[in-house]
Amino acid sequence: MFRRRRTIFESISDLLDEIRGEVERLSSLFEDLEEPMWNASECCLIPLSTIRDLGDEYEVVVDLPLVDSGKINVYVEGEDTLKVEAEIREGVRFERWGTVQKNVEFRRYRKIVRFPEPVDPTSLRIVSFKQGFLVVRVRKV
Amino acid sequence: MDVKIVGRGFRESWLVVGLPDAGLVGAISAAHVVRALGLEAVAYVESELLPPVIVVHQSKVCDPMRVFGRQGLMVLSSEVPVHPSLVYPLGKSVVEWAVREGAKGIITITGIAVPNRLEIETPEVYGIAGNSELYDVLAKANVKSFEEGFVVGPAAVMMKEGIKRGLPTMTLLAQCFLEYPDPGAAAQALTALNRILDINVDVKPLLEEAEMIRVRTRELMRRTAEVMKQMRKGHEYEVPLMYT
Repeated sequence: MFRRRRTIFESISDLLDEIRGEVERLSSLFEDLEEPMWNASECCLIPLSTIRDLGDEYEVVVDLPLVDSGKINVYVEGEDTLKVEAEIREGVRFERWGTVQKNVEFRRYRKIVRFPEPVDPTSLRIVSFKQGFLVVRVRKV
Repeated sequence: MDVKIVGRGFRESWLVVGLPDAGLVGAISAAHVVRALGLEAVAYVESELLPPVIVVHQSKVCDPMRVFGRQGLMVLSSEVPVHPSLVYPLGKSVVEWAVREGAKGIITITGIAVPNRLEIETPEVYGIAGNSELYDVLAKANVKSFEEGFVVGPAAVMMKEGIKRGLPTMTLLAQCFLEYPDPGAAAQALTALNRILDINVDVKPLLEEAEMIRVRTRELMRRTAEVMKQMRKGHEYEVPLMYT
């Protein structure tokens, strides 16, 4: 059967699509600096976090000031997403800050962390919660 | 490109510099001193290298990088991170301005990130001084000297420029988190500053409100962390060649 040879332009176009896809995948792993760190409609704040590759597992640290240890919910969703939700003690208000935020009482944190590689959800473990810093580890598949 | 400090300072006064850096130690310290002592803005930094930002405080338009002060003490504080392209011209301009205004000297407060910060209850504060007399001042104030290592960022430039121009210059480095605001480290740095300058800035509020400060400074920390990566702040973890 005759197969038409691909032109160089088609090959370049495919390659560009592949690069674009890879760029999108990689950029989804990093936080967008222009994304606000709060969501007024859901009354939640986005906490700071860091992710560290320890070889066969990932370690995630999430800064959760004003949170009591019993008020944290952490779980792995799908094969590459960590979700952290925590209740803020007494709620937080920023009386003079901004136009929308000043009218909101923030009551919880919500954080979504995407891992660069799939992880085993059953391996998730809380290493510590000290001085308001949550440290969790999860094994790579 | 130019960096100008617009405004007058106070003669024979120390200039304390606290810019956003590791753990926001400098920025939190500077903001706290300004608030605790009720210092008024006396000058501001003007440069096209700064982001196109104004800060509105109590309906008043302010520059994001300002000098506050009174006779005896001035504080340079910033509400925006210092972009790498601003580090050299800013450092040089600050030292030049301090010399021109007849300042007694410069003390920069910054953080030195330590990986095990979570295990440390009371962070240590180390000092670097431009000459041996100033090392004596640090020793009298019970500040250990920082013996070997790299310092990256505005503190490094100000130290070099200060030495070059014969202006008494010191740097205080408090052990801290790299990418999380660290009011506890700022409190220790200010305790050392109190002893060095024989002043009495109450650090208790910093410790009592530490959690709220961490919430309020998340955004500045996120932007500062991004800038620190470009500045190769991680260099501070490394061992200098001459030590090996």
